[in-house]
Amino acid sequence: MLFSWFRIFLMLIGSAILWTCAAPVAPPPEKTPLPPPDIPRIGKAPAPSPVRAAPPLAVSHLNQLATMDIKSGAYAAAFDKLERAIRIDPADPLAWHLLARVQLKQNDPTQAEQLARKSNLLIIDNPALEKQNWKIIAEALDRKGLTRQARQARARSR
Amino acid sequence: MIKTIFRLLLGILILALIAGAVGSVDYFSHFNRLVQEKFSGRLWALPARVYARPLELYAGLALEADNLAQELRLMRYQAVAGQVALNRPGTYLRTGNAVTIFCRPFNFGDRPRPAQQITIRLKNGHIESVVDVATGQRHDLIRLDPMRIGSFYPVNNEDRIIVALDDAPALLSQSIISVEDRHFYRHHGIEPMGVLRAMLVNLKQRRLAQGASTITQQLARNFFLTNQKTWKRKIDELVMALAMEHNYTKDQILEAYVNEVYLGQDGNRAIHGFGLASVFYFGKALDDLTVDEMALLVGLLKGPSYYNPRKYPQRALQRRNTVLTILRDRNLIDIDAANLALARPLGVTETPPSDASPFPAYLDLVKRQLLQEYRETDLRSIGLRIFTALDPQIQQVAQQAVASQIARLEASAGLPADKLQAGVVITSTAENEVLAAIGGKHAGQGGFNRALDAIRPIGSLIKPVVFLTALNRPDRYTLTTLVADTPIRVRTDTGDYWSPRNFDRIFHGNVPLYQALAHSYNVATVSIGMDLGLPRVLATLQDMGYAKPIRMYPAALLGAIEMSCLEVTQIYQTLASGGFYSSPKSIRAVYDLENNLLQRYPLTIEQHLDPGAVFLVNKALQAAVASGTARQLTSMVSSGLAIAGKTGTSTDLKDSWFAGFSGNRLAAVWVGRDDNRSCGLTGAAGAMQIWGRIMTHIPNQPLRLNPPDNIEWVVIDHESGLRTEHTCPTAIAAPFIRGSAPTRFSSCGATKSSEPKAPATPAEKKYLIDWFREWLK
Repeated sequence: MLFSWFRIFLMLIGSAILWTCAAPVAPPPEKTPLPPPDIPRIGKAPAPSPVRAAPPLAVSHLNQLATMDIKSGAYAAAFDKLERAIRIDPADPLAWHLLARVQLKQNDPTQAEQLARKSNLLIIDNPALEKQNWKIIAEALDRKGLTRQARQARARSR
Repeated sequence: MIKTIFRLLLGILILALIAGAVGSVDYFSHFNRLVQEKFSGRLWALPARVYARPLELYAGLALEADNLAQELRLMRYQAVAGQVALNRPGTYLRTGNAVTIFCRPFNFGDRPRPAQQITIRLKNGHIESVVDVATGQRHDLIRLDPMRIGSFYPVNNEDRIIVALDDAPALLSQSIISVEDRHFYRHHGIEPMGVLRAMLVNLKQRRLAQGASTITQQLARNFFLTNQKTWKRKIDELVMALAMEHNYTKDQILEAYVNEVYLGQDGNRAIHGFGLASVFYFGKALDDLTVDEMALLVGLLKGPSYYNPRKYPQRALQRRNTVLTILRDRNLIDIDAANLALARPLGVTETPPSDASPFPAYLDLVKRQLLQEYRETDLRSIGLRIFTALDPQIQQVAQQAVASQIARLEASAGLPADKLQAGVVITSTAENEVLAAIGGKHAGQGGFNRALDAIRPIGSLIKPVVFLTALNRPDRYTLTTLVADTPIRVRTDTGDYWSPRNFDRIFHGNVPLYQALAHSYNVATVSIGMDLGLPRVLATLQDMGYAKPIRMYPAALLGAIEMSCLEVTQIYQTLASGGFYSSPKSIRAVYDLENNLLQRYPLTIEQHLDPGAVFLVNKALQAAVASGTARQLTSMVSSGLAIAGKTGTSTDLKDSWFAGFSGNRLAAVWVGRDDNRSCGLTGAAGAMQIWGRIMTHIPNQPLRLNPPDNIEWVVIDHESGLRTEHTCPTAIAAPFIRGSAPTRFSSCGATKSSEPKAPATPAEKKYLIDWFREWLK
């Protein structure tokens, strides 16, 4: 009887080890370089045009205020400011990242994960912020009990 | 002394009369209860106020001085001519390229912003700086108080702005008392002498005519009773007045009176209370009224219709002067001030500030979204403050574009006048906030709301759904996969065969997939769709946010599916946001009367589609504008914006559609006829003209498609479709989902000369020329 319990115990340990080994964390894909500029390509690259006003200071101002709000636990106020920032510049990855942080703090892991993924989609050459987003994604997945995906996300946060 | 005793006796007599008349003490307690209930609850049904988005001002914002001035006018700010006149909130001064605004205070829910003056400097269509006049410091950003875009009125159509007695000018209550009820602070709700006198007169004339009511009685009548002139009602009124005085202070009663009284009519809307009357007649707040203006309002109490100052200015002037004389005689104003006031004209604004919403289609959308969560009676009565995402500048640009283009299109299509109609919805790409909605060519008039209710076949607007389904299968389809645009027969549910044709009646042979979308080839689309299977295409459509149950059949692949403009913006929004779905939102937050947040509608996103596949479709939609069916758009909209868009035309040219987006704005436009007959316009000839006009006149950010992780760019030889060196003259760069790019390599010149081969068929020739033209752009 004792023996069979011991055997089950061993099997469990063994399978746990095997399982960890069997789920190797895939290396994150490299960002592909953009196509060489001298050949034609599908679609249209926006010309660096005067149409776009430089990302206004207002956005970084709001991001800063929201960061302070997050530190002091004023999550609703932070959320409000970040929404305003995104309305001014919807392509600002930092505002989306901070929004993800707010949602994680407010215990909404689903939104936190989505917002962090959105932030990653907008990032151009900012590996540090990208890693922070992966950290949020990992944390959110953990909270949802998706440990395996969380581990993969965590690998990309390092 | 004798007089007092006499009065007391009279009072007792009348009370006895009343008690006798009803024969019960219950009568009094019944009214007592009624009065208490009324005062303890909300005294009035208050309309809900609906606001546009507040304008955020900051350095770098794209804004023309004219547009700013236009929005300020919509917000009912008054332009003044000089610095001196800029002396109260709600005014602005425009000098050259600077605008100084005396901002009204406003509570945005999170924190109130006090009244303050700011100067905005504009340069080259952008704000250069926003400076606080008082401190001289720059603002990083500041919100103006939002424009009110409409109200939802109580069922009785009463409108009012509540004022507290403490906040109202003291002269107002003094004037009301002197004119209406001199002994207000001394009597107990009724004036026995007055009542007796009235009774005698009425008996003599054998009818009920004489008024002589105290303020308390008037309030009782307004609050609880009908306007019928019967003895029973008269007695009820007296008892009720006594009950009110029994339970409440004089100031409470006076405050209720100031807010309750009827002072005018604006169409269906009844103007109640001095707060609103002040705005209605003079366009300003009660605090800002001059003595003569206040006297006119007090004079109106005697008969708002009879003394209507806009209709009968002479009568009104006489009445005002009577009031002013009373005020002078009672020493409430001194003689000089009285003479000055008597000499002044009425000063009533020519037309009352219109309260009909200038944007009825948008208000309709707001109401529909609210009714999902609030009861209609609450919506109309508890004084909600509703903050929406409406952008008045975009809305106005769109209204003007529709009005001007519809007339032009009617002429160009040879249609009889007044046949063509349009619907437009404009949203923000990231959050899916509805920024503007247009329900028809006379956008200000309301009526049938085509933005939401014209449900029409969307034609080729459906194609991105089919192509996205294909690109979601990178093992089978890439942007450069050659697809067959050759005759096919599709078996329908009824067992018949259907042979789709292209708009130009030509089969184009084997074409790269992205070209088939950019040029909107029907036959290639059906081949792809049937290959993938209709259920898969339907699943994609649902992922994009189309929620209604539909049955798929082959013709649906070419847009037999019917949608409204709002539904179209929804499916394109999911593309514009890189595959992240958000439900459309017109309301940002709802507050109650005391500024407590009732409901917030926060930004939420949900990844529904693979960003890689969405990236590829968006690239093809950019190609549609750069060189496909929408290429004429480039003559209207700056090509630097890299717009992605799609034309749509339904069978027999009944519906003309365009949907597309820049980096931050998305719009769907429908043009057609209400009688559903042919309007003779393709998507490009009709809806796209309006779309282009709108987008050129609103600030847009360029569409920068950032390749997601699973996208790689590969250099391929466009002739063979194989990989090649980028130095090869036939090389192009194409994005692929990782691992889906061709693996075989064909060295440049190894298989062919550097000159392009002569094409085999005429159809192919067209496509090769297109191919070159496209890629050399």
